[in-house]
Amino acid sequence: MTTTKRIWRDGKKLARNDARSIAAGSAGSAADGGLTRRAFARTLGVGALALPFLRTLQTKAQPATAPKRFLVFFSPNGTIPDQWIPDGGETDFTFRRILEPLQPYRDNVLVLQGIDQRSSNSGPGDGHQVGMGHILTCRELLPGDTMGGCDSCAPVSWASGISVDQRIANHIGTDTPFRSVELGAMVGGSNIWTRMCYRAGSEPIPPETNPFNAFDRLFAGLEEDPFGNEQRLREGRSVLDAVQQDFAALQSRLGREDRARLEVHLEVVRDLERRLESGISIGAECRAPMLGERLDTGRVENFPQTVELQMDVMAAAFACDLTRVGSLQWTNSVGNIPFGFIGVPDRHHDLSHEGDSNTDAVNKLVEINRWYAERFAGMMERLARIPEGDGTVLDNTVIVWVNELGKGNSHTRNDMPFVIGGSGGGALRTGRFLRYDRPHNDLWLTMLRAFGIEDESFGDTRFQTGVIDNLLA
Amino acid sequence: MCGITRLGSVVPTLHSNARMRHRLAAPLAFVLACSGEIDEPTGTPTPGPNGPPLTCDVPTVPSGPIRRLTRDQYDLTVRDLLGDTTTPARAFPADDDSEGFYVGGQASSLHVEQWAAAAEALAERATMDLEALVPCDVAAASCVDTFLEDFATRAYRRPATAAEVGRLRAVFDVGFENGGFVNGAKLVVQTVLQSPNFLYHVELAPEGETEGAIVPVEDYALASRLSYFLWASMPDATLLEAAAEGRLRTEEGLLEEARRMLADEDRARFGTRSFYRQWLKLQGIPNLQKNDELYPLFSRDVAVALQTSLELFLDEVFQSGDLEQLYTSNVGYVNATVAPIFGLDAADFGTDFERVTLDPTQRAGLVTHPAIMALLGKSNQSDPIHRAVFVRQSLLCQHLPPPPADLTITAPDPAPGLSTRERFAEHSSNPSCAGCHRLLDGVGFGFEHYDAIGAWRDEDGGRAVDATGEVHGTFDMDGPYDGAIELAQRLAGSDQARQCVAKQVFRFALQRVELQADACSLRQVETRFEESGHRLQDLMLAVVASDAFRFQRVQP
Repeated sequence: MTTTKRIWRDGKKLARNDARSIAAGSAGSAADGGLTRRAFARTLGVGALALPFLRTLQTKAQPATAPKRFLVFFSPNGTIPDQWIPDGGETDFTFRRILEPLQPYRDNVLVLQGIDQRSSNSGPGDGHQVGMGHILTCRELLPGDTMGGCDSCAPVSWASGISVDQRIANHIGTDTPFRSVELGAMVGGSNIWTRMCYRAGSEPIPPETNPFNAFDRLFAGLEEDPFGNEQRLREGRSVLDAVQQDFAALQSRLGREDRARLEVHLEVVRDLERRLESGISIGAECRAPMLGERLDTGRVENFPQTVELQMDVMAAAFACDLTRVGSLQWTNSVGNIPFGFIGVPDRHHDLSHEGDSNTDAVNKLVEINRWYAERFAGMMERLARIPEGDGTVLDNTVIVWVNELGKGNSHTRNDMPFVIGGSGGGALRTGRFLRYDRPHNDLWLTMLRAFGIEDESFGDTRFQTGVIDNLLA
Repeated sequence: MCGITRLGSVVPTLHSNARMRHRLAAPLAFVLACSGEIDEPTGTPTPGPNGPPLTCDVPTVPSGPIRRLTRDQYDLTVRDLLGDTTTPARAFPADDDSEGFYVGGQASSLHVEQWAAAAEALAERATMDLEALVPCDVAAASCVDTFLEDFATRAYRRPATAAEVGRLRAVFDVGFENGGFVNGAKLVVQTVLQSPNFLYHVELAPEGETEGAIVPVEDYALASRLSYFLWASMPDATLLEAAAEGRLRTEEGLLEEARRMLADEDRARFGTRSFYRQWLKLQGIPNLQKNDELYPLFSRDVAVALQTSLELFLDEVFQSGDLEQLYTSNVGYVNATVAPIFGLDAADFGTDFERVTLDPTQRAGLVTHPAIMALLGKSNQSDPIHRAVFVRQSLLCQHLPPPPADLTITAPDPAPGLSTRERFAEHSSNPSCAGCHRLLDGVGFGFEHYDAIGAWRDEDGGRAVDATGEVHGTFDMDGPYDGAIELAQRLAGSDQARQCVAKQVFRFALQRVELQADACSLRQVETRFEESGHRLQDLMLAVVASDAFRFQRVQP
């Protein structure tokens, strides 16, 4: 018999909905409650429950060096380079209209011009397909069986290799309850246009598109009633054991490919069991986000708020050290939602096809891209408000803003509009605008270096030239 | 715009690259980009007049990967299994749709975690009413095993094995110890809903069969194929009984069950809705937004009501109609919300939909329905290109090559004194665009009487609408015509359109695209469909009776 899940706060239990409804302050100040270390300490002061409770909720000792984190931020359909490229040089640059919202974080960002998705000129797929499938993998797409599901889609299936966020997660994501957390809003169906993160070739990772479900998934482990823990552990174990036995029995009867497909599933079941056994320990600045009333996240008018809430959830997941790798995917490659909330009723992808001489369309696209820049700044702000060591979580994070295209109406994947926020614990030298003529493999290889990964290459080596030394500190 | 060099011939020719399901050959479409050629979906056999002779004495079917339940299937299955109508799967990640229809592909961590969470919540709710869940008196000593066997059998859609019941008994005992029968049953439900036997469409070949052998789909697996196709849900007790008695092994027995299931209109509607929503991509309708100034009539409420209007029409046609009705019927479902879009007076209607006869000079079946025209309309103007792409790809199963790389593609802005058609004239005057656009414009301009929200118009840009066109590049629809009504009539009489809808139903039923090895099965389906006078329910029965539905290939 499971007891009602509770959020522990200031030594009192709050039903989950009550906790959510305290939305006024949003994630941020300590005053709005949530799971602070002090609150846990007070709860722990209640005599006899120390041991079982600790198994579930151990506040981590502040580590000697702060953990590094990696976050991908995606918006679609290319940019308007004329209003994206800053004026000036490496250090004396000034932002134009699109990136202007980053001004408060000028010293924390890197703006990169001239990074090309060269691998995307190789292998099957149309502009948007290769743009999305190559952006984090730098490899040819796998051919598919059919064309279907779009106006003129090529026969491709999925990307053929691991994405850079997952390569980093394999290195820094093993000590947290979640190797990585993928969130998004209005990401569409499940196909080559809507997935950018890959565990391996043909293994796309779907983003969670509902912040309330993301909350439940991430923070449920922090809400357990400690009194019920031993019993719950035993029951959970018996369920997962039986499930694994069913897998074993079935696996022995399946063909090779089906066995492999179920093996990926079974591996997650084993992860769930490990998480159950080891419990969850949390970061010192952990606060569960307050999300407010539930939204229908399938409705386009709720898109802006969904985006804000997902960023709240992601910031909290970092603060609680539930994960160190994440991605935020806003719509998808060819994303075609209207932006009525900023006075643009036209659909994004439709607009992105307009010619450069259509100033009305260009202006609207500038505003859409600027809106995404404001969100990018908002994500930096959230992380900058979480103290860590002598600095903030932002200092120890690298956020990379990616797009599947350079420019929408040409579908070019040259001159990709990459912006980086945060230095990854000083690994990158920020506050600069840099011009290159390099393949994006080089950018991701450099990123691996920033996270202490000494791989010789990333993606298809035919397109790689090497580490971009002057990005690193 | 469109400043590119043409790579190939502008002569539209049809070809079929009947490639085997293999990830080797480079797709031809890229070589021929914008050359004006239409590419058939890869691997599609050509059953048309130019197809190779087929010898269909022995069943041939390709092998397919194991699939998990799609979101729709999950929700309807827990509805039928537990009486739970909370539709938890709507929160799951989207199903793979690269092949047009939703398919339950590789599971991710997110899937597995959400299945675990949903299983817990479903189990909690299911055990609130133990009497509904457990088929015996819980006080009786034998009731636990009766319950375990009954529940696992229904959830797995086949008799539970003794070993499976034994495993569930161990789980039940742990739960029972901590909280009695209710808690034991809750853990059991939680376990079963996470078992691969519940989450996947398991289709085991008989043990010891050689790799590559073609064998009949096993009785219970076939029952599931049938129910997930026709009802989008699990088999009922009658169907499982038919499987147990071996009655699905004969074509007659199988069809008898299929007819019974189609006659259950309420449940069959879930199957057909699932099919046509995916085929026609109707999920985009509620989020349509139109330019307020130009189209003050339009709103989300109107969009949603238009979808209902369309679905009521499609329900009727799929229940009792044929392909001709699908494309040419002037039956419409109208209420006060959508009446103005149909050019009718809202004051004559209430909130309920009424079945009415529409003006046959303005409306003919599916393709002129305002929901479709609005879906295939821009926010401020009609959209001849995407309307043509819809006809070519969804209704004729043709494939258009993608526009050339680095091509600036621009829909011309509405301009005073020019019609949409005139503004798109560059497509045909610029030779580098003409190859593809000859195929598109000649179909798309036929819909010019329908504006961005699907309402009828006689004028566009101050000029009388010119909805004449000429179809190129089809088997049997080529030639000049005037207006969408005539185009719809031509679709209704086209073998290519008939073969296409057959293919679409086939893809939905088997949750995979047709491959070369399916050529004989498709031929069987087409023949039966034709013999029935192209009745849509008979098309579903024809797919059920095909080799591809009834046989499977043993995997290595």
